[in-house]
Amino acid sequence: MSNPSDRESRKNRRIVRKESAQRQAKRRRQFTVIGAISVALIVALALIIIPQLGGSGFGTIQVANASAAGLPSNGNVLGDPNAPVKVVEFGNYQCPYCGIFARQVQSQLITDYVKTGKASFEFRDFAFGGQESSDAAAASQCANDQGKFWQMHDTLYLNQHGENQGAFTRARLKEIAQSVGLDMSKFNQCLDSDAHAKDVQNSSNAAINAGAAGTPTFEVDGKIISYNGYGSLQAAINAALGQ
Amino acid sequence: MTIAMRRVIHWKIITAVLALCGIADGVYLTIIHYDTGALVCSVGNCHAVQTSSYSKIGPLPVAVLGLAMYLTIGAISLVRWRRPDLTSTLTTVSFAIVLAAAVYSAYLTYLELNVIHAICQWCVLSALLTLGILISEGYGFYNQLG
Repeated sequence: MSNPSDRESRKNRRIVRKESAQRQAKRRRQFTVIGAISVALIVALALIIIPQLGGSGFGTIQVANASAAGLPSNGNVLGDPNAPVKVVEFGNYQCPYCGIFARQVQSQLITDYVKTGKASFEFRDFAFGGQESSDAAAASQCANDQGKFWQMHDTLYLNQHGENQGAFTRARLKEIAQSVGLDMSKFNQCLDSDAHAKDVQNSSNAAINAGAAGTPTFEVDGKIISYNGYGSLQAAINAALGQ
Repeated sequence: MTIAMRRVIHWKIITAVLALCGIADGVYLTIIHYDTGALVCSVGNCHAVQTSSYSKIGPLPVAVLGLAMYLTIGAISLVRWRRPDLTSTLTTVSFAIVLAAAVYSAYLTYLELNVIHAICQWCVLSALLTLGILISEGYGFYNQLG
């Protein structure tokens, strides 16, 4: 028969074991909660951060130095409207060769002929090749409503990324418009309501009627020229100037 | 059946039903990601959201990711029903998955409102379903902690 002190000792050991088990159970619960929340937050943050490291987007929007800066412009016509020669481009914002012209050749044309008052330069939409072409053209017209056609035009060409690859989705066009500094509530309303969809369609039909079979097509004083680089455009303008 | 048992079954059923709705929504969002012609949108501008650069993570459409999440939660609900002995582990896993999904959903909703400037009703529905599952699974997870 055990004495009272043994019984007390066994009882104390049981209490200690029970308390130890309770502490372990509490630690397990804390570990489970912290573990589940930590894993969830790490996964969510990875989903948010990974695309920003260059996965899905097209990177930062590059804003063009406006070619129209300091020049008279009336919507999509750059330079003196009474200039002796009128140069017209039928272009498509998704067309890679139009992009090369806009980024590499257009500035030479402006310097040599538009700034000197010898020619005016007009851009007309010939939007074919998918929804993104039409939407980009409509976006440029929405920018035109705010007097920033050329800023938008040049910035669109600076941000080409393939054709119908998502570079000119409406969401992306809104980001581009924001970068250009447009009034976003007016721009969104204009783009979302398809305010210029008909204008773009009409302009494209007019381009076909004018004889444009592809982009870029150039017209010098109403005559379509065979464009194969700046030299061919220069020759046509000089001929029209009588030089 | 005790009140406690009814309550336990209740949140599991809510999760399963919400996951089923999520699967239907996820399938539709996946279809319209590839075929915007099938898009029916009476509220907001689903086209802008669905074609935005944020609608994909690399080559993977976000819609497919959402569908995979709902399928996983649905599968967990099914296994939990057949194997009650695994309930504790599966509820912990399910809670972690849906918490991650809810945080990501909140981020996507922020993008819709502040970056894309367009709302897609089917994406909002998905965000609400995810929130519902989070509340349901959070309740189950909290209860099993004792």
